[in-house]
Amino acid sequence: MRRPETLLRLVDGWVFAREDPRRLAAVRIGLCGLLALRFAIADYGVVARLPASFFHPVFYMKLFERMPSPEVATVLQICGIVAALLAAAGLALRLSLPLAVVCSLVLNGMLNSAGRVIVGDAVLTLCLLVLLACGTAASEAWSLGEHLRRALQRFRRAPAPGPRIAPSPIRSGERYGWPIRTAMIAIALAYFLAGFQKWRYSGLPWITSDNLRLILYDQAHPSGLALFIADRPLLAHVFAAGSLLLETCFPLVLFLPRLRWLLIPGVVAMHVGIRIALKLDYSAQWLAAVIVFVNWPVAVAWVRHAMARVPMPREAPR
Amino acid sequence: MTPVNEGTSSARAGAATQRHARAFVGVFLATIVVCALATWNLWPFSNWDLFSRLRTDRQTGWEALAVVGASRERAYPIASLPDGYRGFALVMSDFARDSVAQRDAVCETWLRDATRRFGLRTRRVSIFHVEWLLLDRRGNREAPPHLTLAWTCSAKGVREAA
Repeated sequence: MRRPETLLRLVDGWVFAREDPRRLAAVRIGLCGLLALRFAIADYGVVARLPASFFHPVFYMKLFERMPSPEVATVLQICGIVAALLAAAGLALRLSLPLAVVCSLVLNGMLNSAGRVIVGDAVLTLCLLVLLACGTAASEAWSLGEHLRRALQRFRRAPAPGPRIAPSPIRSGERYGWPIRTAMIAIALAYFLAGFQKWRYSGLPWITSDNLRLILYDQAHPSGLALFIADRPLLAHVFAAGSLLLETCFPLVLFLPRLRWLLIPGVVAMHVGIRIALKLDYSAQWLAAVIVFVNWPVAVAWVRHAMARVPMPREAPR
Repeated sequence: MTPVNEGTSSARAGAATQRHARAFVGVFLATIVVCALATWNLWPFSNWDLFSRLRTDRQTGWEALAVVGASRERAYPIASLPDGYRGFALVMSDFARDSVAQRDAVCETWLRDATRRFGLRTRRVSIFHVEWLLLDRRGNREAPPHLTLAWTCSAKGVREAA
């Protein structure tokens, strides 16, 4: 067999390998919960109140003649929070998840139509698009829907239709695996391409020149951390090299799972550093990476096991 | 439908779903890569062009001052909207090429907003072209920038500096 075909088969086998449905459910809970949080803490009114001259629509926002009003933004924000929470709970996923994603696209589109496209939530949105494409597979475990159905049955005192409400054994399947691994590849590509563009447009001078110092100084009010690094050229070169190496090597987490213990905390630390030094919020990106790459059923089982080993506290003597 | 037929049809449905999933994965990942290579910023399919161009020491920008009363100048931070929005810089990059009517409309918005902030004695908004050197530091601060008056917005409309 020729090499490209073999490689393609290997990739296909990896992407479409079987997976525990609870892992996909955990990704659903995490990503939708994060989306609800993003809706709740963002101030879309800032851009909704901008004068018409500041409306510079990008991509699909060109469908809008002007910036949606603050009232529309508030309605979308409330709908988005409710829909995202319902989707996180696994309720009416066919309706709740598309609604949450549409609200997110419009509200993020508003933020991106005010003069600068903000990359912060792009990775989260890409992962949500994958979740959207996998249909109801993401709500087949760890969902409130099944509990609600059982409670309703008990309330009505109707005889339970055996197989429907009986606790189903956890069966792994291909349909639970490809969404997780596609999201993993999307995240890995996001980091790799950010590094690739630096090599493409700047090359080694991105590390060896004063570039990072200039980025850190180029703020109205640089933070103490920004000035601490920018005032020390050698330290700035080390940070520049570290971040470029991290971005370029990030796809290794796909092939070498052990490297996740190093590279995932690495990107979290990089984004926290960027938040403090440049006041740029990439929390949605690193949280999406943590949600997608951590094997939550294993983590939950480990925590349960660890807690079971801890002896119960005795009652204090009186 | 017999159990055998049921099993066959569900297997067929499963295979069709897998085909669709494979098509989706291929198109989705290819879009991410193509947008980056072609530098198309079709959010959320970003071009991932984050801080990728080398910065230069010499920086240019725009600054606005509101003139209140006879000659009292107040910093008017239309350039420093929260969360890194750069609407002001974007508007100013095309300002000279805009029609007089467009420029007047933009200036009227700024003057009205400045009047709301600083009171009815606000007479005009002056727009300066600013140049500064990032590595030219005075302790923790950069050296004062070089300002050149570019435009003046008043009740009479917009006027280009001589």
